[in-house]
Amino acid sequence: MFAEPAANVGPTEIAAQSDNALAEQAKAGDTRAFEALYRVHVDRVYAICLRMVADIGWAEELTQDTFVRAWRRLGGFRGESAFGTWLYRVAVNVVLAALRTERRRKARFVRAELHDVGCPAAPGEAMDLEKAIAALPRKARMVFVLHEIEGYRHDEIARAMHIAPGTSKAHLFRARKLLQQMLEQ
Amino acid sequence: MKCPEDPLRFDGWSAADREDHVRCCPQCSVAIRLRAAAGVLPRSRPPNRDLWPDIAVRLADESAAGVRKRGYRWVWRMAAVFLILVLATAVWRMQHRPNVSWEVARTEGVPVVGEAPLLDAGRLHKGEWIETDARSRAALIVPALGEVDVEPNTRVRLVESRSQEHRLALEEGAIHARIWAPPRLFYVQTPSALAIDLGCEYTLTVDSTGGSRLHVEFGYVALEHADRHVVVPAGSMCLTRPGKGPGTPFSEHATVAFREALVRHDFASEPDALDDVLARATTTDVATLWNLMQTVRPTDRRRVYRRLTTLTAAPDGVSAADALRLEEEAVDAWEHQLGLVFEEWEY
Repeated sequence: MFAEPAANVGPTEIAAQSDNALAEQAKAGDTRAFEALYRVHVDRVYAICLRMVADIGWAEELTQDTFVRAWRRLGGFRGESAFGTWLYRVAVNVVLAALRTERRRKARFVRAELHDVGCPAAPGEAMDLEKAIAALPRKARMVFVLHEIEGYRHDEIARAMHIAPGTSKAHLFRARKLLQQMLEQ
Repeated sequence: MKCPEDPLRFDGWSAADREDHVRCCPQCSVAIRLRAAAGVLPRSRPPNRDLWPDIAVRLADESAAGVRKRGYRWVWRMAAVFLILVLATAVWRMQHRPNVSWEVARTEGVPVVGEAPLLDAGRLHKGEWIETDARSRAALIVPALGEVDVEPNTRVRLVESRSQEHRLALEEGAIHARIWAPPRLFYVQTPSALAIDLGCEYTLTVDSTGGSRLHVEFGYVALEHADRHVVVPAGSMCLTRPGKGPGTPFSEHATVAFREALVRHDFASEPDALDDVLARATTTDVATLWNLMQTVRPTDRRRVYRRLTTLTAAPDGVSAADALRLEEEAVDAWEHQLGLVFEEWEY
């Protein structure tokens, strides 16, 4: 599960309240309020999309799709969780739906080079791990990102990816093995 | 102690046990290291360009289309509400249909259901055991699920029976299952693995040590234990061992020598066992070699691949380098060629 906003008053909560107020305005059709939400959350949404698909151009398309879908579904956002929590779930669902329907996309689009995909500009292991994640087979990568980075449980991943929890565990196991091999090379 | 399902959740372990285990268990230590490294990866990254202008154009299009459609919206809403009500009623009825026992029929001899001898037909209730001796057999029948023959000298319990899950526990002996329900509704737990029906007919035998042998005659069966998961296709067999789970699936036509070498490789971890497996492999065993490609150490993978490609040609367009790196498309191509793809893995 994504982290819920902190209960005590602090910057996180203030940001969440501000988000929710903007979301209310956006629900009423205010695109400027929605643009403000975009500015706050686009980096996080893009990072999720990029890690899951390991393709810069596609990640940009999916980021756009996420915000368009969020706009359509704002009526379903009732403010029970932080807007960001809700939006990041929309992003994950958009990516999973796209992957289900565009399985052979890699055959039609040139995959970004690994050095272009690495997310952080940090040195050392983080950069190596980021490259290695991008090089994982697609299903293993999805499960690894959702479980180990986004904090989803196997039963949630299984529901979202339309697979069994055991299959999710098997993909995670495979991802760990492959990452271990890649990082040891 | 065996590995926890999630390497960061050692529920019920003492700190000392946990430390000892992680120190000695490569699987857990790798998982913990990877999770720690993944935990510090940055959560945000700005895109290379501003995506808002494109989004704004799409939102404007959406708004214009929304105005056009709004006049008919109430009709669709009413239809959707009606459909949801119909579906919800149907689902509620299915889930609340009383079905906590299975029909059981005597086939030979006098099986025992619960405490009572089964003379003709009866019901096996949730939690009850059915036992056969050397001269008795029985059949379990669930109309929407399938049939399960309980062979002689067998002890089976009905663990669960509801719309989303039907589960037997096979303690010892053999069952023969013919399942026509959708995949992943019928489970059989044994002391060494969980067998998951993926639409199939199979025989599952458990010996007195808790080890089991699965023989799939039609369709696919998945075997799971901790992080180990294998899919066994028709015409194949697989052995399981307590604490180790399933080994590598092999053809029902594999030679005895090959099977013995595979057992030593899978369960005894004998250093020279892989050499024996490769030396004794024939064209019957190519699927087994492909499975081994994915589980052996990277340093052994090339040897397995070399032997595999002396027994069968690689799929068109798939290079040795891609196969050795287990690139997704190479894996897909090999598994399609070998008939190892269960549809669910494709999604």
